[in-house]
Amino acid sequence: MLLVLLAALSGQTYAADAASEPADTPEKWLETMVQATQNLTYRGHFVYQQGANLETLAVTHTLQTVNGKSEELESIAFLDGLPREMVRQGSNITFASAGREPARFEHESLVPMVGRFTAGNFDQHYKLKPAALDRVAGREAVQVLVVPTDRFRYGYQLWLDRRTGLLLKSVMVDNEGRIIERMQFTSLEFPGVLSSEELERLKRKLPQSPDKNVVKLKSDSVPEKVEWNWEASWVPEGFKARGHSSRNSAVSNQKVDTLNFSDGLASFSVFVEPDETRVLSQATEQIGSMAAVSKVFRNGEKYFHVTVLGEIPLGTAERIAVSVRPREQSQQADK
Amino acid sequence: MSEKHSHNHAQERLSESLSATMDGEAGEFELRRVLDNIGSDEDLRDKARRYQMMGDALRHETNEFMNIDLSAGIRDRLENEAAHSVSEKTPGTSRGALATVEQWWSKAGRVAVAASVALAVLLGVQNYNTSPDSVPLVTGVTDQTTLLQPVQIAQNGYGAAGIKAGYNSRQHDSITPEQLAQAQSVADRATKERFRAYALQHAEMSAMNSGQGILPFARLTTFESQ
Repeated sequence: MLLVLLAALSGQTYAADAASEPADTPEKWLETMVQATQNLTYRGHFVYQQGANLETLAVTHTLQTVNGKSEELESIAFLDGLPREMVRQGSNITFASAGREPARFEHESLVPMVGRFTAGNFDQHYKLKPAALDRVAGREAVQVLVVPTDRFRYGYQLWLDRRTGLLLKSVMVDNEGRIIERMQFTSLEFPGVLSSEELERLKRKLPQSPDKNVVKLKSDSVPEKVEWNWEASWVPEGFKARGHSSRNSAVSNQKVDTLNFSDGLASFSVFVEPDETRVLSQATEQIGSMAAVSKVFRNGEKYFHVTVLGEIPLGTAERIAVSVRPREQSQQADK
Repeated sequence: MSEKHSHNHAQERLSESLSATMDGEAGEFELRRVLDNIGSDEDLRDKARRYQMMGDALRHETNEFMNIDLSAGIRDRLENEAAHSVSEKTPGTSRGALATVEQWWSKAGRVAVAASVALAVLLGVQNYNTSPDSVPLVTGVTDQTTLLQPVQIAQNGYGAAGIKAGYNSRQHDSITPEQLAQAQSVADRATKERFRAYALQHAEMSAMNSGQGILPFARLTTFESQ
């Protein structure tokens, strides 16, 4: 393990050097975490526990330079059960699942996540507390407690690699302190450069999915300008719209509008889908950290499904879902 | 099973029942017959799919918040379709506007075929408060929904579970419990499929937006079935 560590240290490029600057506050540690996730070259295995589910996953990540710009190359593969893999090639993300058509996402622009925790009012919604050093996957880890200041979000206990800031372990707790999600690396290497086989695999041409499965995602925050005729009139303070898209529904030939919100750590998405199946049902689901609330709304003769899904408490999701309403009723003047 | 010559007569009756069901005019007996057979009968499913496609195509004038409009013309179309689909062996409907719908069906057929024979069961539909003096929405709707109302949650199960009736169920009066259960199971499957698709998109957007690195994709396991 020491050898691996040494190799990792000597093999790191600029990013690692930047990341290994000793961060002195928990906020800076979190910034380092985000940078490390995006900029370092690493491979490893981790376990993920959600509710009663335990999964093993493998991750490979590196940066490549294309036309003078650096791009992320990443693969996250589920090692248990149905083979599933996510491949990120720059701004394209493909999710392939055995027996299903691959889904491809394209980002039109990427918002750098710099200053997510040190700027803005992150500290109004979470209190950060440093905790004791620990060891995860054979590596020294710095612990950070992330305690929410209200009941609209969950708390976290994060273990960050002391050398690089990479997130090694994450535990999510609800407001009664129960563990609802766990992620933990079991092995991790920073090889400096990936093997040519790995690189080839990451750069491989992915199966083209039909147009209907390509989703253009816009990450520029323009929620106010979105041309849809609905809005979420209540979201917890601190959550900002970060991206939106409109894609074909999985269960009908309708378009589904999506708005994604994040407070820096947690995120949820609001989906609005007109319904034409005439089989309408509301559903509520909570598995581990993930809550999903689906409601049926009627506006005159029109029915539509509003679904809120994300790693937020169920009550928060419920409240957001019932706040979704047609825009023309409240903001017609804006148009 | 896909050969229907051996039981032509029964099939014809089934087709009629199906047509009536799709048209919302089936008696209880007819509905039962369709529901009993739809699961095992390939032909019948195929037919149901085509009926539903026609309905979809006819109603498919616009994408956004479109009206649920069962125009009178649908019935004529269904009758014509029923007439020649009895003699027609392979679906010949994959042209024009229907082609796109068909593509979609091949993808989501499992859920939607079943949905096509279920009745228009509206479970706990929420009306917007349309009064002009704009009561804040949350208070405006709590009489019908559930901020505080306990809901059934599938705590450890996989997939989605709908909230059962008994909950704003005035529209169920004319429907038997079995039919309701059938519709409910269809709706559950649609919900499950929807949650899965939504979860994927949520993961993707969160991967870009939430600063949690690998976690958003790991979370996808939540709504994956099997």
